[in-house]
Amino acid sequence: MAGGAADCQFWTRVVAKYCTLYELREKTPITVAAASKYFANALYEYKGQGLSVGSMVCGFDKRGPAIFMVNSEGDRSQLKVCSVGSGSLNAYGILDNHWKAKMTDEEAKALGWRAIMHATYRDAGSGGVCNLVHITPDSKIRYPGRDVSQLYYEFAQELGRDIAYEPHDE
Amino acid sequence: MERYDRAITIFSPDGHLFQVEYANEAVKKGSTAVGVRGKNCVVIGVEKKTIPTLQDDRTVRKIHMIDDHIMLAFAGLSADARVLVDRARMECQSYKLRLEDPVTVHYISRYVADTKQRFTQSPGRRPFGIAMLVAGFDYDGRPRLYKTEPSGAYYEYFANSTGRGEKAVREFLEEKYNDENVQDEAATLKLVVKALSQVVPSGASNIEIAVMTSATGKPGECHQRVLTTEEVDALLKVVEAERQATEAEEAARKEAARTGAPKQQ
Repeated sequence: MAGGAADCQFWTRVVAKYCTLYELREKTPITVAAASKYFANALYEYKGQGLSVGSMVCGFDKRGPAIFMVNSEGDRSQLKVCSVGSGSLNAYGILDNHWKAKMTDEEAKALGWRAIMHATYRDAGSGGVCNLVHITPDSKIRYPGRDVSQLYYEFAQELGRDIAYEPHDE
Repeated sequence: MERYDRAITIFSPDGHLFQVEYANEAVKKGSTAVGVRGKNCVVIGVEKKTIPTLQDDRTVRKIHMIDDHIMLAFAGLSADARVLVDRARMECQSYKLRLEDPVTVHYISRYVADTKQRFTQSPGRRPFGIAMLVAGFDYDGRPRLYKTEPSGAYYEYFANSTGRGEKAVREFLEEKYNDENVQDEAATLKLVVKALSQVVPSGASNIEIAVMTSATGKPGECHQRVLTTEEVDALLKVVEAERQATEAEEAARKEAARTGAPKQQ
């Protein structure tokens, strides 16, 4: 999620409550489509009243993997590649360049880290720690947070670049 | 005892809700309906009451479609049923809008049952005088059958009946329902016709049967059809022929036993 921190915290819990109740009542996990639709409908009630939420609802359900982008403007779209937040344009630059329809898990994770790293590098409103979750049909694997400045060095190395300026006497 | 059936919000001293029990009596007055869940189909059969000569036959319907993949039949007060059927239809569409998925048979049965229960716990209202058989397919292609009662109770069944001939039909089904008798559409249809014939005067004009099957390969796609009078006639003939065949067999066996027994003595 991106946008107002309070809004994001609050609405995650509201949606989580609905998802848990759904699973208890129906004895089957909720679909990504349903959870994101509930979220979008809830946000739409507050349209124009100043909520600031940009979110991606992602998961695996009986229809397969899905990503839905839901925001406080009332937009809800199913996407294959998604980025939200102030640094999203920078991230899109990396995603649009390297994303392929068929990627291995490792490639996908590397792309995720790379996109975040580039977004935090160039956007003042992004930074800190990069958290990654890998969602599979039966599990959600959470990777430890990686400091983005350390993440930079990982990618800088392959580009042959260093953060410190080195003057050239030429 | 009379004091405790005025308002249904009151329990009687021995724990009865009399209005709910009286609602069950209204159900028992209704024409019989039977539902059977087959291996890959669901069949609902209803007794067609004789209608007044001046009534246009087309307006009489006992088997209703609730959504593309769910149908139901009821026994009891038809006005109450009309209202509940409409609510169920609205809920199906509302669910589809909210969840982007068709309802499961379980969900809509529970919704109808919840509505019925609410009316047993509200002041100034009376319970619905209907029992419903809700049949259909879930998204995963599994057929399901539920029965809801005026009290708001609902259970899933392999087969059940409601209405006037409820007991007799159910006893028949308890005896005859097994995997072999419902292995395909034809077998299930025969079972339903046999069950209904226990309580309904024989004749294609007295029986209406609807069958729902799931198209193989595409989840969520269902086909429902109401059997024509000719098809029902044909089924009745097959059932009658089988009955006569078993009767003849029985008679032959008895004859053989009778002639055989004295020798052993």
